[in-house]
Amino acid sequence: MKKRMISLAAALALTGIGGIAAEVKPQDLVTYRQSMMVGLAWNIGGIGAMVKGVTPWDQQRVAFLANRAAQLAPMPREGFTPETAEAKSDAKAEIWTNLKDFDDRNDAMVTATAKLAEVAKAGNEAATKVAFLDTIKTCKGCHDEYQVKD
Amino acid sequence: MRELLIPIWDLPVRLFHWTLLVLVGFSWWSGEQGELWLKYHFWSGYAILTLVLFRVIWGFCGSHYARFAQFLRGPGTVLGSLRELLGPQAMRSLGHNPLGGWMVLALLAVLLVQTLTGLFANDDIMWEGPLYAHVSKDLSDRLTGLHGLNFDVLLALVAVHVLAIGWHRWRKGERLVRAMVTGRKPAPSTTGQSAFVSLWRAGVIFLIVALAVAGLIRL
Repeated sequence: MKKRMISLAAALALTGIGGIAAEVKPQDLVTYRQSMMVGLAWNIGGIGAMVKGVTPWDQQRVAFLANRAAQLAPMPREGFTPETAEAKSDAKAEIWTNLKDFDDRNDAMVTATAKLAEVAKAGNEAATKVAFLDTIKTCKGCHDEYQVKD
Repeated sequence: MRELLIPIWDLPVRLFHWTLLVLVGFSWWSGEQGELWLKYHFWSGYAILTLVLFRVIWGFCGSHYARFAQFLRGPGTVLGSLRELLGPQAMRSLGHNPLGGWMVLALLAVLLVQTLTGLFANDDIMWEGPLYAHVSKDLSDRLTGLHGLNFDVLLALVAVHVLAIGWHRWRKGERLVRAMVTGRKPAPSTTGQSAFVSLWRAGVIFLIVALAVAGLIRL
């Protein structure tokens, strides 16, 4: 356990967060992953507003937001560690029993977001919208499955 | 012998009922789809809220059999109605029976909770109800959870409602679906008959409620 925590801390140190802490508090991991998802939602939401027609379509802006989203997409996963099972969060315990499925869904989200960034950069509006919908499906799928809803 | 059919459900009640059925079905489906369908899920919700508020007001100033005062009865009468329902004899109620009357109220209440919580809900991805900005994210999350739980309550009530209609049809020989379509129910005499309130009144109430809901979602 101790060894695991240290290697975890080391891994986090490499990414630059909580780097100096000898042990990372589970609640801090939750805060970290939630923050990454809030950042992700900020960028995805900005594109969403354009897809919904709330704000005018701006391909350059979409590409910019999609690029940021693609960089953020792989980040939350690191904050999902078994140590956080007892921490206060909206994550269902099923994550830890269905870890393979959880990881597959996470990978699908990362891939879809990367594709969105690529397509958005290429500049075709219709294709970008399709890629966007593919991306948020991966968000929703995992939320439906593993996010506590009350 | 030709049965005597007398008018019970006025047009507003019938239109309310069947439109509500379609909209609740559509809301269920569109809510499950998520993504871009949520736009229409929102519209459907506003329409349901309008219908429910209309029906509540109509329960006070609609036609005789549409009024709460006509069909909401005390526990003793409700128990009697339950015995009547389970027993062999025919039901004596012309309008909603005392048991069904409370189901009307329960369904309206649950639909009101459903639509109102939806106004504050969010999906953590790209959708927020029109009143999301007026509450904290935490409260919105909780109302979103309630929106999901309450929907299960709604489905359960609808299931009981439909089973009861089937029971009336096959155990008591009462064709309640037909009555809700034509507005007419068989009666031993015309004593229970009551004139419908003018459709103008329904139109004006509906318009006011629709404008109120339109104002509400723009707050």
